[in-house]
Formats: sequence, C-alpha cells, structure tokens
Amino acid sequence: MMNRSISPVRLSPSTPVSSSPVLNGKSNSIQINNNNNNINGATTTTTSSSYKRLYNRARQQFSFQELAGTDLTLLMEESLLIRVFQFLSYHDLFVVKRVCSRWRPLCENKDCYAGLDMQSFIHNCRYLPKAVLAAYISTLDMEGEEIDALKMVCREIPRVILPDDPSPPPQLSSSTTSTTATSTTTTTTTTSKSNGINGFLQDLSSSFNSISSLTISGGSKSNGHLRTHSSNGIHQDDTFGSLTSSNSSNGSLSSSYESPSLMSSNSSSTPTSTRTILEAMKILIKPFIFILIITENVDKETQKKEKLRREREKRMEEAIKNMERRYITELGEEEIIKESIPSLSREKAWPLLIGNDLNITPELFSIFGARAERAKQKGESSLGREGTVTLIQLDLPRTFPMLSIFQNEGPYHHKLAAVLEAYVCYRPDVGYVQGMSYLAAIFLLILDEYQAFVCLSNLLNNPCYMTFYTMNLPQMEVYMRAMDSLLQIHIPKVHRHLKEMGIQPDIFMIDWVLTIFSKALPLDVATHVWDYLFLEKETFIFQVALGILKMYSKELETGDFDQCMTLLTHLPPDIDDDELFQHIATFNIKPEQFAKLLNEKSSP
Amino acid sequence: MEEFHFKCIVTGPPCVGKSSLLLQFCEKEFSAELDTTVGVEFQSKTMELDSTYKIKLEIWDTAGQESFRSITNNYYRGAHIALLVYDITNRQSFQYLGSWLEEISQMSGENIVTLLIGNKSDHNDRRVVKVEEGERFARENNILFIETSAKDNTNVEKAFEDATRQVVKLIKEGKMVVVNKKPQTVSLNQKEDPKQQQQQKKSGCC
Repeated sequence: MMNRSISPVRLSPSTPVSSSPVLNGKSNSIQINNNNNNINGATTTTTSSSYKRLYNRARQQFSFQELAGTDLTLLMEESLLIRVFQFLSYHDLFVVKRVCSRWRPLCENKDCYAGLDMQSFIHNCRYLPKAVLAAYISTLDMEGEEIDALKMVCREIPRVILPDDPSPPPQLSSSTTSTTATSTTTTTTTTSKSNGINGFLQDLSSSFNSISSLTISGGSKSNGHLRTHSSNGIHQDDTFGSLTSSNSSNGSLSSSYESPSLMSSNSSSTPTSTRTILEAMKILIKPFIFILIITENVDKETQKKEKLRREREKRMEEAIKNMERRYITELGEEEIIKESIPSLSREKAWPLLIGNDLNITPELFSIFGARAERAKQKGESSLGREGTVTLIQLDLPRTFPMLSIFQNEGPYHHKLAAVLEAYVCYRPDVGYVQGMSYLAAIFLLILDEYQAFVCLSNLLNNPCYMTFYTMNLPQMEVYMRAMDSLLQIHIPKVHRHLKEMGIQPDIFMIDWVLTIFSKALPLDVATHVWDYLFLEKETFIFQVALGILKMYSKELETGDFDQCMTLLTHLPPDIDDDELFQHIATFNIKPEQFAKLLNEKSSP
Repeated sequence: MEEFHFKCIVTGPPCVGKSSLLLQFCEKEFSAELDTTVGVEFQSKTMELDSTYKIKLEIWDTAGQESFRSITNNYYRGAHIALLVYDITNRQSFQYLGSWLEEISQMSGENIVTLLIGNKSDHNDRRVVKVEEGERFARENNILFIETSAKDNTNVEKAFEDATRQVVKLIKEGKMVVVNKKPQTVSLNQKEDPKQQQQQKKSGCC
C-alpha cells in the first residue's frame, strides 16, 4: 500500500536502507566505529565515483547476519532511525515493527504517522498502532454515530481507547519522547538519553560522523528537502543519500551547520575539518543543553540497560574464548533466563551449546550437497523421502517473507536451499517437512552454511523434534497429552475453557514445536527462546507454550471459540520479550519431571 | 434474517494459494509474501447470502504438504464445506486431486459440500490446466467448480457464496444437518466414525 506521498523504502536487500555502507561493520573503508569517541568515521574519500565503488563493494559485503539481530540498528541513533522509518508506507512500518524490539517503539512513534489523513487512515487502519489510532480519532471531533460508522471500516477501533473514554489515552512510544523529530533538538535530546550530558557531545559527534559519511553520495542531492520532491519518485539508490542529507539539514540548526556538513560530505573531509565542525556545533548547541537536563533522568533506565548489555557481551565473549561448553552453560543458566545471549555472541555460543554429537564434518556437508543435486534431477523416483527436495524451492520465498532475503533473488536464497537440501539427503527418512525452513533460516541468520547444517542436524536429532518431523502420530499424541496435563495443572482456568470449546493443544502446538516459535513469535523474542532452549532442551518448548498461554490467559478464559482459535493460530505481532519471559519464569518444569510425565502419558 | 454457522476447511497441495484466498476473502488483501502454513490456521468471517441469510464461516486453513495430511485429516470432522484448491499454472497440483477428494469424503460426512477451486487465474499466460479439465473433473466427481484469482480478487467471494448457498440448499431440502455447536477438534490418534459427529442441534434447519 503506497498511499503516502513518499516512495516507500522497502526492507529488501536491494534497497540502500538495508545495505548502506554505514551499516556494514565489516567494510574497512567506510567503517563507522560503534565507539562513540571515534571520529575517524569521516575519513572517507568522497568523490562521487569512488563512493559508488565503495558503496557497491559494501553492498556485496554487507552481512545480513547483523540485520538479523539488533546490531544493525545499534549503529544508528533512534532519532535517525525514526527518520528512516518515516519514509516507509504504513504497511511497511507494520512489517518492520516485527523485526526487533528496539524497532517496535520507533515504528510506533507518532512522527512516523505525521502525514496521516482520512484516506490513508481508512486504507491502513489495520496497520496503525493503537496509540496512533486513538490520537487520530481524537482529532476528528466525531459524534458517537460517526464513530460507529468508522468502526465498520476499521475493526481495530473498538479495541482502542476512544477520546470520550474517561481513562487517559495511551502514551505514544515511550522511549523516544514526544518532541518532533523534524528539529535537531530531538536529535540532541534523544542522543543524550543514552549517555547523559557528558556523553552527549561525543554522541553527537559520532552521530554527526555517521551523518557525514552517510551523505557521501555526492553534491547533486545536497538539499535535504526530500519530502517536497520525493513524490516524483526518487531513484532508489539515491534515496538513502538524500534521506540522510535531509537529516543533517532539516533541523533547526540546519542553517548554521548545513554548509559545513555538506562541505564534509561533498569534498574529502579530514578529521581536522570534522573537529572544526564539532567545535562550531558545541557553541551552537549550548542553548539546548538545558533541555537535556530535563530529559536526562527519564532515561537512566535505558542507559543502565545498555551498560548491562555491554557487560554481558563481554562476559559471554570471555566464556566463548574459553571454548568450554560447560562454562557457557553455567554462565548461561542464570543469565539467559533474564537476558538473551547478545546477538553478536550467538554466532559462537549457539554451535557450542548445541554441540556436534553427530560428528558432522565439512566433507559430509559437501557430499550431501552433491547428492542433493542428483536427487533433484531424479525427482520423485529417489530414495525414501528424498523426493521432498523438490518442495524446498516452493517454501524458500515463504520463509520469513518480511525479511526479503530468502526470496528467489535474495542473498540467502541459495544458502537456505543448500542447507535444507543437504539435510534431506542426510536424513532421507525424515525428508523435508514444512516448518524446517524456518529453523534453517534462523540458523543462517546467525551462522554460516556449514555451521547451520551442523546445528540443524544436531538439533533435530532429538526425540521430541523427530516425533513431530516424522509425524509419528501415537508419540505426538503423548506429547499433546503431556501438554494438556501441564496446562491443567498450571493454568486450570484456561485449560477448562479451552476444553469446553473443544480446543486441544495440537491446534497451536504443532506450529510452535515444528518451527520452535520462530513463526509465531517476533524474531528477537524467538531467538531469545532459542538461547534458552539449547540449555534446557525440549522441556523448555512446553514451558514457553505455557508462558504464552498464561500471558493471554485473560483472553483465553473469556473469549469465544473464534477469538481463542484466532489468537492461538495468529499470535499478536507485538509480543513483548520481557513480559513473555516473566510469564515463562513462573513455570519451573524440570526435564526429569517432564520425562516422567511423558512416561505416564505413553502408557494408556 | 436466518443465521447459520458453518465450518469450512481449505485444503489442497502446497503453494497453490490457500492462505492467499483466505486473506483475500477475510481481509480483502493480497500479499505475495505469505508465510508457509504449518499445521493449521484459523479465521472466521461473517457474510450475508442473498440478503436472506447471515452466515458465519469458521475457516480452517491447512498445511498443504503430504506429511501433514495425517494431522489435518482430523480437522475435517464436522465440516460443512471443503474447498479443494489447485493451481492452474501447476499440472502437478491438479494431478492428484482424486486422492485428496477421497480423503475429504472419507474423513467427513458424505454430505460435505466440496468446491474445487482453480486458483491463480490471473496467470492465464502460464496456464497449464484448462478450464474444461477442471470442469470435467468436478462433473465426474459431482462437486462444484470455480476458477479464482486471490491476487485480482476474481471470484473469491463468489466461491464462498456458491459453497454456502449449496449448504443452505441441502439443509432446506433436509439432506444435511447443521451442527451449531462449535465443531470439536479431536485427538490426533483417534479413529472414529466421522458420521457419529453429525449430531443435530437446534438451528435454522429442519
């Protein structure tokens, strides 16, 4: 749905947003260091042609592994991200919102919905955050009947708090304040929030660096008024450059530092010139510091979280250096239940946690890769369920379609195909079963092909997953009965209500077990679940399932058949990680307990 | 206005557009980027038929892969409508419809209304299954037939209307009973005579 005046920047690998050089931590030439003190980021030679070359190389090198976690966006300030998000259509915002927990509040920031009018409201009401809906309706000055009419159009309206409701309307996105993002003041205030006043100037300098490096796309687009001419349709490759130059020149300080910033972006800038600019900015910014003092307290919390995250990353890094599975396990036990493994550490932590009991070697992987090629040619006449290899192609583009990287021309298309095809030939008795592509895809977001194959094979080599992937009905029934009795013991009200309506666990559990929640939960929540799953084995799946049911116990106790079924087969896209894990933590099911339960259930 | 409550199951080979049909019917939307259905998904929609009946449809969208058939078979129980979908641009999806049909009648009551849907009719240039072939198959097996496009929203609503109209007709003729109770989902390994499930309950039927 492209009913916004701005051409939407899709979250697809071919667009500059996702593949911009700045986002590429691995490209030496245009590297932006995450360290706030670093001001070398601007030492880029920036003639238009060399930029193109660097840019293309960066695009090739761009690591989607970083896109998978939150790392990509850690390089960018929140205010900058909001600006990027402002260019998305409402539907895309709705999609992008699901990518990670950091993006979600940003996508719900009211600034992303500044241009909302009646027409786009009606077209997009399904995608708009409730807070935005409420705010918009309150501006309409409507009578009860008119609102009733509007309810016919928009099913979400009954669920939002309407303006005449006595309770206060929900706050818009908490983390990014209500100041308008179009003024540089916001940039400064939000920047300051992460590091306090002392860090503020450094922060600013780093974000300034990113800005100046982002704007290296050349002088032709020196003017930042993208909004005014974007409706004519900007060439996609240019969008990001223009977009960021708008960031540097749109603000209230724009007239003062627009020219230096453009200077740095058009001619080759040196660290010295950047410093000069920073000096100039320090003077200009002084009047705004008082605003910072006000807002500083608000985000001590965020600051603390960030610090903790860094610490965890460091500890995890040390654990990995020791390369001892046991050590990680011990470290993990207490930490992961609360916090997930830092996304950068997963690449090393996951293979260690899963292990390689099957002793799979790179040679084995390539042998099965070659065999898969033959199986594809033979088609249906091949051994066992090897024929299912042909089905993989159908499912690749339908795996995490919102990430757009497994699509037919996507950069991860072949990798995903390779891993799955090798697995099918490795286990022709299991073959390819729908749902498997999600598991392989998650591994590929974190690991390389070989590692992903090792992890997938070892993970599936487990009685629980084997039961489900081989569709062993009698044994699946045992797991379902176990789930049923867990539900009865721990959340009896929900159990009773679901039972009354004839909703049995298999309705939701099959999807949840087969994809290990990667389809049902937002990506970041799912990977967090996976972190812990590798420690606790399959018992944790049932614990998470209980957690989800508990989280929605209110709806599941009172809802009718349709509501419960819809909820269970389509979980809301905005599940909060912390909230879910709080609920999960209320259940403590030991693997031995669960094994006993299974044993009981298997004897009729 | 007379009210009915029908259970409808959408089935057919993988990647023929089952979920897309539903999305178009329930939300008036098309997306080329839909997730694979794993297991079963549920939707409900209330529609009006010929401005005389108000029909609530409970739609069960099933996974298409062969492996899932043993599971999804259990969801046929108590269904009034089965939509069997194939892809007109994919010969393979049309080839084995016979076995699908067999399963539908085996797992549900005899009176289930089956509608054969040839989807992706917007890709007429890539068509490999002729309209006549679909029609012939439907005639031979005494089921309804329609070609749709979930992308262009061609015939999507008509498909559901045709099927529900047929159910209403059967009910009016006394050939079908409608269970207004929520259809029970069943345990995976249970093998019961599906006909037993067709208990009658008061509703607008005779």
